[in-house]
Amino acid sequence: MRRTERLFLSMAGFLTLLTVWHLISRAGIFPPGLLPSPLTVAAAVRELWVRGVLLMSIADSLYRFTAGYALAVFLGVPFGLLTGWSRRLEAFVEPLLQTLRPISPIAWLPLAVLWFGIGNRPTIFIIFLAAFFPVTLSAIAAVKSVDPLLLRVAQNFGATPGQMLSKVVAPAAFPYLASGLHMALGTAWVFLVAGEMVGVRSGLGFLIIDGRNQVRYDLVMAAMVIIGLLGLSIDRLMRAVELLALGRFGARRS
Amino acid sequence: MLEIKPRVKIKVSSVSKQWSVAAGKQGLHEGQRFAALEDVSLEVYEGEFLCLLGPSGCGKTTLLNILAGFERPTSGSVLIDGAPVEKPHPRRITIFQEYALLPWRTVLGNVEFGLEMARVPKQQRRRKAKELLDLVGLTGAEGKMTWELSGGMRQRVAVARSLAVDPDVLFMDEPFGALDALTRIRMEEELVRIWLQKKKTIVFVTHDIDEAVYLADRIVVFTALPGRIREIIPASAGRPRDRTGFDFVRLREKVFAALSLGHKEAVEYYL
Repeated sequence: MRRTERLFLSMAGFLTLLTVWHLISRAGIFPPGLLPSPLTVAAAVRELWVRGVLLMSIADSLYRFTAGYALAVFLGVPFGLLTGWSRRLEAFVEPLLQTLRPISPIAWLPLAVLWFGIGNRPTIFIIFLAAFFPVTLSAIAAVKSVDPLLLRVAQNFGATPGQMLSKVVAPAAFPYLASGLHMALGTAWVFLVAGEMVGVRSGLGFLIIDGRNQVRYDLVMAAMVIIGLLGLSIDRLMRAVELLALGRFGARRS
Repeated sequence: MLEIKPRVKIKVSSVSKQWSVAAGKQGLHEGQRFAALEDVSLEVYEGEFLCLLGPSGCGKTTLLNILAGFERPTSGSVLIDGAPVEKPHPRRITIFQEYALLPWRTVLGNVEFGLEMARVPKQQRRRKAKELLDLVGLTGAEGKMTWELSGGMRQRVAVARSLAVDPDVLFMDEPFGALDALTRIRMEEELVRIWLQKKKTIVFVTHDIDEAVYLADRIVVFTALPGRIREIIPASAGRPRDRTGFDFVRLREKVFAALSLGHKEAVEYYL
């Protein structure tokens, strides 16, 4: 498929969604105001822009998101690599991870506010939790995907455990890890709204709560649209970085 | 004529290896044991080019893995320079059929890998790696990524990487098995050239008769199930060998006879 064709089809997809949305809101299935039309929502986005709320919300949300996700990566990747490497550590840790993972990050919210107080930190914590488990688990799986022959080679050349981990396991696991990091990014973004429902008075998640409290469903949907489009941008950005890095780490071999 | 007795580099005494069948293997009971190697004794001389030849499943790769220290024998012992082999050692490097290059490193980075593990300073590493790339005929390919190379070139990188740490012994496990026939012949010629220059002890596993006949000082012929040494055939032909010459063809016939069962008389006649 050519680039232009792909672009055209994706535009057509968006247009279809907007049309269906518009028709449903005009059909009067829901009381007016409860399903604002795309045009109303566009006006609401404009309103947020004019009030100067839009950019500030995006900036606040992106800051919290980046902090939480980065924390998850910096802790989860080394932790996962070590856990995947050591059978003992894995036996010790894996059941714990699988127990904590199914607990929705939202469930931690009341405690997070008590522990971290009002401000950015509870939100960062929620996003950290949302990203930490998928990041760690994919790092564990990534270690197991490493070609055992490469380990043999390293062993043959007398690699110390430290050299083995840093010079062979980590780079060899990278392509697998990269796709795990990519998926975790999407998962964590989903929890942005939940993370900003308490403790903060800014951000895209807060806009949704605030819109509901004002009974302004056009503002609610405006925030939803922004969250969706930003999610798309983050995904595409990550994909570009991933492709770049995969080339560097030789995942394009043969 | 006075015969100089060569020094024994590797001494294999009554090595046996048994595998237990893992669950789910077809046609076999779980826990059933079978012998991959049975009572293998062998001496490899210093500087010798020894080929282990046999059909698949004859245990030649298992023996190589035991010599290299990747596996332990069920019974028997392996001594290299008089010391028992317990684990792999950088003085004895194994080269695999699958090249086992590090795809995230350049050609130069791959050749430097072993030196890096030995904490050789960077400048020295670089110099040594370039010298070996010249030796294997890859001058100018330093900056290439390994996936840009053909199979033959990849194996050259693996050979350069192995020689960079200046080992005494090279273990080669069907290193040219994945290459096309012509590339393979060229690689065999190159290997002999390098071996004549560097004088390493080489133990080379293959199931290709011509390859063994071209390369070896001695050919160890294996039989399968259980893996046993059937015969050790010395190759008196000089080097480089002429693949169409009389000596080559005669040696080839000996190996054929040793491999095909029921022609024992013919083999004895030749010997």
